[in-house]
Amino acid sequence: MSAGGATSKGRALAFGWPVRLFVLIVFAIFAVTFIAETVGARPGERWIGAAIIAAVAALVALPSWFVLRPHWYVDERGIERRIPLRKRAFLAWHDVTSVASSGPGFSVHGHAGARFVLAGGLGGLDVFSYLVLTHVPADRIPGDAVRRRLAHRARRFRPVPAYALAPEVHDAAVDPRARWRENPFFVLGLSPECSRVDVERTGQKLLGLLAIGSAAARTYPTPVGPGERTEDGVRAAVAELRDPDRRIGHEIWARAAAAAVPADPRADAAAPWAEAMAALGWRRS
Amino acid sequence: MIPFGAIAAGVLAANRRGQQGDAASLNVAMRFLVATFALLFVILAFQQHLPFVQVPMLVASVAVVPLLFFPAFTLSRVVVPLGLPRLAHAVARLSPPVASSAEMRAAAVFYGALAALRARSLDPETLAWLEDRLTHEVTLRATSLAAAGLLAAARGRPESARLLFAAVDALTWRTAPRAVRRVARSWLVADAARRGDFRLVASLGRGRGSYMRWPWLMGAIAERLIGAPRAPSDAVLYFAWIAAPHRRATWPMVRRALAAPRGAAGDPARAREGAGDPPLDPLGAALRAHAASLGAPSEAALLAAGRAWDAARDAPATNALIARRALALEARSSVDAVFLRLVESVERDLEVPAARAPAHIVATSPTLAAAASRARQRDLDEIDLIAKRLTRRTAQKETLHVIEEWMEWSSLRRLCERVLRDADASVHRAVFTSIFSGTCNYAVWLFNVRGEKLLGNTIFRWLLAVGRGVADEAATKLLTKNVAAGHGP
Repeated sequence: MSAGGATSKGRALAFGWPVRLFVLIVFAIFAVTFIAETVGARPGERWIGAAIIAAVAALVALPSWFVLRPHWYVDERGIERRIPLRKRAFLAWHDVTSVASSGPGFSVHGHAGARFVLAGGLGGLDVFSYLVLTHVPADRIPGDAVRRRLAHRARRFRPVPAYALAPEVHDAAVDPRARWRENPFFVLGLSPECSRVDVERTGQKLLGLLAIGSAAARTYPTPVGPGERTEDGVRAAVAELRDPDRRIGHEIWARAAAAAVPADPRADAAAPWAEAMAALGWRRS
Repeated sequence: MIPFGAIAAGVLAANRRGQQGDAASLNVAMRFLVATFALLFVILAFQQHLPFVQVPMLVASVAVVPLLFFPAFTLSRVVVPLGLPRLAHAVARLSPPVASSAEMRAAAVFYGALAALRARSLDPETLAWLEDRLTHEVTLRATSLAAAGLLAAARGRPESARLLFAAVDALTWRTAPRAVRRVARSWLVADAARRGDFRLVASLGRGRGSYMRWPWLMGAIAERLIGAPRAPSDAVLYFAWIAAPHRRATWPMVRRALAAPRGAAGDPARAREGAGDPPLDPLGAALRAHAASLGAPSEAALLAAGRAWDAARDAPATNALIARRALALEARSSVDAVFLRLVESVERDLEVPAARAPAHIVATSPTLAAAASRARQRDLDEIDLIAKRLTRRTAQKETLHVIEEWMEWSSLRRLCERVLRDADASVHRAVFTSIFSGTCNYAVWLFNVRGEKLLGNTIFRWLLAVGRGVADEAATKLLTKNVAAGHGP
């Protein structure tokens, strides 16, 4: 189970909206007070300009605080603190000496005096709690109260989906063109009437070309578009053609090479529209 | 005197409403709060005749006002086309669209991913960074699903993206912001057009109730291309093209549709005429038609392939060729065994296009009918498998991440709709009976225990629609009650 997401950085611990709202309210009260004082001032008074600049500075300072404050990230390995313009501090879970309550939040102590204090308003403490409970030895979490608090936090934890890393799910409908591309006669570039000696000789020749990195040997034409030739594919193709019962089936399908002309999509009104995604402005999809 | 108490009470009231789920009103309230203070600063600067403050204030206002009052428009028309995912994410985070207020983090990821799809170059770390941001969203609803779909598409996982966007597209307008639904449907339409599945394009673009300009245009084009009976006229096509976005890029498709005569492209009789003279070598002709139908799938090509294989199967020359080669190669298999393997592989190849083709075309060719039957049987087997898996997971309380739950549901729904299309009442009843109990219990578990009310409600709604179709009164009554339980905040 991946608790830290798909990145090496892990799960960020960030302030949730209640804290942000509180800061905004405090700022609003100051702003209202400022306006109340300045509206009554006479035009031209010098301090007004300075006051406006100070107010704008405060407006800039508010988001700046969110950016410049310490940021914490947790993953299966440990917890990391990042502060802009300062060196990052990392504490592995196995180096944690104790985890304790610190007001509404937690403090994590490590070897060499490392100490991380996490405020109670941080979002992501559920993931932190889960990781502490699963990775830090039980004897380093002193007291049932701390353990209960961690468990209470961790109850909200939902494992991060592995969908981003898992193999692509496929529709049960397979790509019918794959079998054509993998036809041994196409892979080896031979005609269906070739002899067994031709098969062995061509197989060896292609393996040699692929071994020296020949670009021309990397692709081969098929009636449904070019295929990519690999050493494993060549070996499998030779093995397939050694068996007469299997070869006869491949022969029938390979006959299409001479008969079939690669279809020009523009010739058919209902042919696929390859540029459909690009039409939406999406370069990658 | 400034009424501090009233302001504080107002903010707290807005906060309480936000906690109760009315996030949009909180979003709007915050915008007006910021706008009011910004306006006061500007007025003050002008009142005090301070040009060194006035100019920056005005410049800032010009930049901020669109973002403050038209966030969705500014994001989609100005920020996203720049193709800078992190910037789009930051702007959307700073000023989330009102419609996505309930999923602000997901909305930021959504616009970041949209920008990623437009980026000239994109490193996987940016995608991973966006995925990481998405995991911060606690309540995953329409915007989160669409964001996950976009990220899957950007990662080159079309099938995952297909399932997630299909799930978003199936949501009601109350539960999914229009911008999100538009992106989902546009992607599905473009994906189907890219694969040449113009029946699906027509169904998505013109058959799903709400009007969206580009999907509607593509639906109209698709209807002309597949020769639908109610295909639009040239005038309607021109009008739809003028009304839709992406006009220049879509023009080649409009021209292709204009060139196709109304109601004739999918006519089996016409396809039969187009098959040409009787071929001298039936097997060679069948292979040629087969390759053509796979290279450029269309109903006419499919019908030509089906008919060519019908002819090749009956031709003595095919058996003679196999016998000759078997003798030359000293094969141990009999001619009949080789021939059966050939037929089986032909039907396997034609399964997908035959399942997509209209029933009246499939019925004209035994080969196509057999291929469609195989496809239906495979889909039925898979439906049964998924329904059993849902039942087992519900009983064992085995959870997946909610995005994976949505994908699993979307996969089951797609299979069912594929089987139920053009099927008679008995098949409808059989499918409903096989999935109802397990899926309904699964949805109840999602709704009551896991708190995934939107997913649960979506499943109830779909089951109700199918249940009404088969006139199952008891199930309909139960599902109506379940649907009335709502879909959460």
